[in-house]
Amino acid sequence: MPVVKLAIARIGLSAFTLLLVSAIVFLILEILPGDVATRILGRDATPETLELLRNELGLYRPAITRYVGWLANLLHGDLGKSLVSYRPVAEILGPRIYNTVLLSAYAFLIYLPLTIIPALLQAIWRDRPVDHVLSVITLVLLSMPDFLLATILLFTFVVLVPLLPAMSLVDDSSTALDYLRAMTLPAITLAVVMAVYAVRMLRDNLIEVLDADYIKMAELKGLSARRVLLRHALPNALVPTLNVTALNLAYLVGGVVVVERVFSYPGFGNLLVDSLQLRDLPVIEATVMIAALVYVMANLIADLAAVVLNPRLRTG
Amino acid sequence: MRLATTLGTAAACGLIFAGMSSPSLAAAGDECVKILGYEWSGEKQSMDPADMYSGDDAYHTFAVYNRLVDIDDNFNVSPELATEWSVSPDGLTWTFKLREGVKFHSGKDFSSADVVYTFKRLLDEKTGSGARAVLEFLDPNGIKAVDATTVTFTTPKPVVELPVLISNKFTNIVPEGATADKLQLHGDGTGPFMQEQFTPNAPVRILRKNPNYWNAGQPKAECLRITVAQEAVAGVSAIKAGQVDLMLNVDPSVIPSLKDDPNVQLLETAASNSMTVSMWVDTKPFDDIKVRQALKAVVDRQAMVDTVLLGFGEVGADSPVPINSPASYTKEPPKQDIELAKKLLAEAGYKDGLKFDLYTGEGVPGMVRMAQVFAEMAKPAGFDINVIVTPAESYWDDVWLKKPALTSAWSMRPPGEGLAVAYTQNAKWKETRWERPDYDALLLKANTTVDNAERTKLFQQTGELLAKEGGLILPMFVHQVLALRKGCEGYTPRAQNFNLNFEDLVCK
Repeated sequence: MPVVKLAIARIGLSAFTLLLVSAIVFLILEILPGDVATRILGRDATPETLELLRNELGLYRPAITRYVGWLANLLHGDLGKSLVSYRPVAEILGPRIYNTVLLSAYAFLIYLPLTIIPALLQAIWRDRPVDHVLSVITLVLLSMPDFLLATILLFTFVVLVPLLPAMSLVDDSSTALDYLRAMTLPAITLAVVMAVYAVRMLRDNLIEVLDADYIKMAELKGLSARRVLLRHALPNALVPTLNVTALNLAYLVGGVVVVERVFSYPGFGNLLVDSLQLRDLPVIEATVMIAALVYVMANLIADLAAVVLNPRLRTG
Repeated sequence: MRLATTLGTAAACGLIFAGMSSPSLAAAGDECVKILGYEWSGEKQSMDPADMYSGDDAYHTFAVYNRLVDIDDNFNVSPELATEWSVSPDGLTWTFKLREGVKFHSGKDFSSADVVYTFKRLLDEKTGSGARAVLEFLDPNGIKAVDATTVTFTTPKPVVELPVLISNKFTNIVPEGATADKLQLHGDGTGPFMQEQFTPNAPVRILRKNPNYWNAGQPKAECLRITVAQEAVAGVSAIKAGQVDLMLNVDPSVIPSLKDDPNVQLLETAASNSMTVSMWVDTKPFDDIKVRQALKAVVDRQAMVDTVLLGFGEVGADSPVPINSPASYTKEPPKQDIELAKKLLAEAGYKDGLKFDLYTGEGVPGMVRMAQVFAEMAKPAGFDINVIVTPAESYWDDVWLKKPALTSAWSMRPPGEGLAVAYTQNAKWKETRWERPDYDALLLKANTTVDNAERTKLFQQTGELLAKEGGLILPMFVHQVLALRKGCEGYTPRAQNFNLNFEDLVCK
């Protein structure tokens, strides 16, 4: 099975990528000025208290020893403890990942119709006013950075039309509805940013497919326009879009950092920023590794899916 | 099929969206007074007053605990858990009389043993508190409980401002025997509010009214809901939409958008921190006093307050003591004098002007603007100042204390501390590399003089020496701006931003 062979090769490569990422993160944190001890003590730091804390945290051990130690623990499934609060990293990360997965899933639910519906409309009425208007809208949104979009949404749905909370604060005591209210603005932001790329791609793909001979054939056979569009054209146009969707998944990992920050959503991206500011190495490593894992997996799945969906790529 | 599914999803999303707008859905703590902070300790958040990693921890510790005494913006002392205090004639022993009938939230009676325990714990190396460095004038063995309501502090040397100095952000009183492990998660103080919901790094904190608070009639609010917005824009949206009642800091960048909002009232503190341009007096060209004096003469201080701080501040006179303090050497801010600056520069040998690099970074909001405005003001006098903007995150690590000319900022300290913190020979942060035995001697004399009037006079002399000859340009003090929702009242902002007083705050 060539697909299996390809999958195994790619998975091996992915594991190597992850190892490389962890080493680079460790290295960068070594180079960055200021360590976790100076961050914890802040301006109250004295040479003695710094010395004490650094010894306690084992920061005087050589970097390579610390890295190998961390890696060994990771292979045993132990993510370590936060250098700041001494809480286990898994315990800190758990609820944050849960929050971010919920947010991403919600964003993805919005993303799908937001991509497919405009693309279909544009493809059907290509070069007509609908197409042009939607093109302009997507281009404008495409050139808008996510934090600006988030800010505009914030002012629109919080200040002008007070529907939603400005800060997406959720915790254990929040109900499902609290969650929905909290997640709506960040999810829309993420969905829009992802969709604008995909809409343009899907529109062009659809147009290309609609011009293809087999679609003409289907039309000549007298199939309804609806059936031609949804059964024959859309599935074929979706294949190249899968790649964009995978890249969008990867964007999501970075996008949540900005978006969660703007909306104060207690997710994984916010945790990454917090832990970076504190130089809390075990938490940073764990979050970055998970981000990298999602990124790598998204690409892996996209490649494999493309192979499965497109028989021509199956050779070798 | 696929279209039907997606349309169905879209419809579901629409329904959810419609449902969310219903006002009957209230989040936990909605009935509370909602306070919005701006600093964030993250994973380090702690209920233990000994920790106080950032201003964030003050939001709850200063509501849950009390200190012995409180200090106002002019460093006047007022009673809190101590009702009266006095010093022995030799200045070595301070005696504090404690309030009677006070209970901790756990029900335990408050007594002198708790005070002794609190201070000994802060001074203990094992506690690892930042308090140890700022309380080093105390001798742990000199802190004694005379009886249940009397505590004495005996110090090796006279400490004339001891009541002020022991009222810092760490010195909230905890019950005897309380350990860090317990206090970090479960606060037990004598303060106006009790912990109801608190987990480190969680987005919402809820504090409930202490029904047995020693000051009858306080607190006015039933409960406090404390959250933090790290992005100014989210905070502004929240207060505009009525989702927040009190915003503890309004970033200068968003003041204009709140200024004209009829539902929001802006409050202003007294001088809460100074902003400076600091030069190394041992490094060319700043080693020439004429160059330093020329740079001090180019500043139009009021214009700087108006442009950089949008008017929310006051002018300074190159001394860390604000002009309206009795300890200030002058009542008049120095005036801009370009001709004088030109003349001084020529005398210093720079007839054709002088060029140098000025480092800055947004380590404190407004610093970059101040540097740019300063450079513009200095231009007509023949200075060509190249402003180098560096990243805010690493400013205090990488640039500060490492470059000969830079911008800096200092939080407000009592005169004796403010004049010492960066300017004595053994100072920890010698920002201007100013080393003058005569200055140190004068300041030491001031800090050990018991007579008030005499001490004030000595502070004036010390400040004048620093202002006239030092490497410090202190053009302005920042007033912090807070925002209070219409319908709320009873909040007095304090210049020391950790000193929060929610006792009288109430919203209709």
